Amino acid sequence: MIVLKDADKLYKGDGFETKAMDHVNLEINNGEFVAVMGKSGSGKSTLLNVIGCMDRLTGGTYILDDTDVSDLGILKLDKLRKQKISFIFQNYELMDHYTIYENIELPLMANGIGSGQRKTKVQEVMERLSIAELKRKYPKQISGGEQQRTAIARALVSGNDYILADEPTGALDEENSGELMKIFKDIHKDGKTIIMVTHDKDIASYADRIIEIKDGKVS
Amino acid sequence: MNTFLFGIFQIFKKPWIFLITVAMMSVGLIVSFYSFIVYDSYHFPTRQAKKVLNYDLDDIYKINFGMHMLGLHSDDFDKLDKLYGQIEDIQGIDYWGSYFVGGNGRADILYVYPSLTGLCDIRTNDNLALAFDYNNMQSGYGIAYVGADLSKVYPVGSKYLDEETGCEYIISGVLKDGSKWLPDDLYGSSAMNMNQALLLDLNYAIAQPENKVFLANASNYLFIGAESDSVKDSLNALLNKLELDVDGIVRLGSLYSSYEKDAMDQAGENYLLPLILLLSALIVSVITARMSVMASKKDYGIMLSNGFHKANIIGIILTENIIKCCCAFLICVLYWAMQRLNMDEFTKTLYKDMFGFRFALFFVILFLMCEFPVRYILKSKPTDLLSRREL
Ligand SMILES: Nc1ncnc2c1ncn2[C@@H]1O[C@H](COP(=O)(O)OP(=O)(O)OP(=O)(O)O)[C@@H](O)[C@H]1O
Ligand SMILES: [Mg+2]
Repeated sequence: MIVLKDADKLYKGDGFETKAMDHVNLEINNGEFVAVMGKSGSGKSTLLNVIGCMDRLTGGTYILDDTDVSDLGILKLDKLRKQKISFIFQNYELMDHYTIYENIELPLMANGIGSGQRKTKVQEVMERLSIAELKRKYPKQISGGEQQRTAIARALVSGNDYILADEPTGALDEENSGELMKIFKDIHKDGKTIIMVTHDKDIASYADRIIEIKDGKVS
Repeated sequence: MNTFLFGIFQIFKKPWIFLITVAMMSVGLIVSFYSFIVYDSYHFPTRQAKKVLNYDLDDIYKINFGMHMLGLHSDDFDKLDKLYGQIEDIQGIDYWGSYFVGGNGRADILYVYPSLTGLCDIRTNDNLALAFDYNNMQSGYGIAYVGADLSKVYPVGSKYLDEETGCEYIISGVLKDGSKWLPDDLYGSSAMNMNQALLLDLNYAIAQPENKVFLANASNYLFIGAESDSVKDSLNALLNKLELDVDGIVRLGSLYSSYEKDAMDQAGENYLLPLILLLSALIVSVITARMSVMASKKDYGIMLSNGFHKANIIGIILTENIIKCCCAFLICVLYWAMQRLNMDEFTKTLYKDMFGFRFALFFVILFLMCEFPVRYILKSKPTDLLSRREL
């Protein structure tokens, strides 16, 4: 369960100060499929990064499954992220010099899982996402839709409960986007909590609930 | 999570960065070592002497005889005899004597006063001080010792006729392996390796009047005294009284420094080039290490968003850089090992002497290569590392 209370995120630099999150109060239950919508620059990615333990709040509290994340040290934050969170990005974020197989294997490497077990798990998700025949290829050699499926496979392979997707369909055509949403629905049935940022109403309609963000505020 | 393994992965995934870094580093190191060896040779006599001497360089005086003495007239014999008779009376002089180096084609020969053997750490293979038993002299033999590598050629107990002096010696023991004596030619030569040498009692040889002339060849008359200048004054007074032709009495330390200074003056500004070369090797390593992190920035962001800890990333960077450094140094060592075949003894010793320097340099380079990347990873948020979407 995700609980944000009076959450603030302030970006500060020389000459600028942006309030990307402004007193956000939000609860997301386990197993929910939530879409986050809002204009560009409204703070959607910021919210996702905070929830995903990639960045910290500058005010308020964030509680993830009974752990108060707000005052965790860097090591504990890294560990929490490893145990609970998987990301899917608009631009896929695959490692260019690693094969599809190696990319998907990455979270398992991080968890120190033995090679035999890694192989079966990777094979399993690749088959589920119908990309098994791509395993020796490199990201540059496959299509955008295939790359995004690789990224989803990587997010699923670790078995983490929270899947955070930042504009997962942003670079895909309609057909591929539809395919992707079917996959998301499927994953959701497994009991995963999905938080998906999008500015496409049709895509958002796949979710159980839509959260609107405007200038860092949740309405 | 096997960080080490991933560090190796990263190298194989981006071999070009690795190869360029290692190539640049090793070339830089080799070239800078080259110039350091050249530069270092000007400090060589002092460092060599310090290694083999049992005494402080400044506790040792050398008398430089003038040209006149090289002819050694009969009245000079008498003066020398008198000098040796009276030198012991000077307060503060512990040992005195002279030595010179010759050879018989098979072995180097060190002719040395017994009292002077304490100057360097010369001992028998049983680690005992050398003994010069004068009963043997009465029986018509001088005492000789043989270097460790030559003990088969000149076995203990055998007799050795020295053609140079016409004296017969008896080989009385084997010198400890690795024994060394002061270099004969002070500039640009290494310490004399006693393993391939015979050590003969010079006192015995010059007991024969016709051998007195060898004292003229013995360019090194060394006196070990207390540090005080009074020793020098008393010596001067004695030499004046005997009217010996003397160029001067110098402390060994200042003698060597003057050799070094001459050589430095001849060679010009030797500091600058090796330093510049070494500095460029350092800068190249640091820059390529930075480039490599920047090239892998996105990878690190992806790793962090997929369960890797920052500590893992730092481990990966350390592994990569340790491997790079090891490879560069290995190439350097291999290069020198190949060069070794045609290196003279002198350069070899210099290179060996630089081991500590190279060892320290390894860690300095490694530190410089890792310092920026580690700091960069620590201060970056995972989101900063990921490629940003341009809107
Ligand atoms: N690292 C950063 N440093 C400074 N300002 C930032 C940073 N990241 C985001 N911002 C600012 O914070 C605000 C929210 O940014 P965010 O990326 O969360 O928006 P978004 O809703 O995801 O927009 P988009 O739909 O374009 O992706 C913006 O005004 C942005 O300029
Ligand atoms: Mg965004």
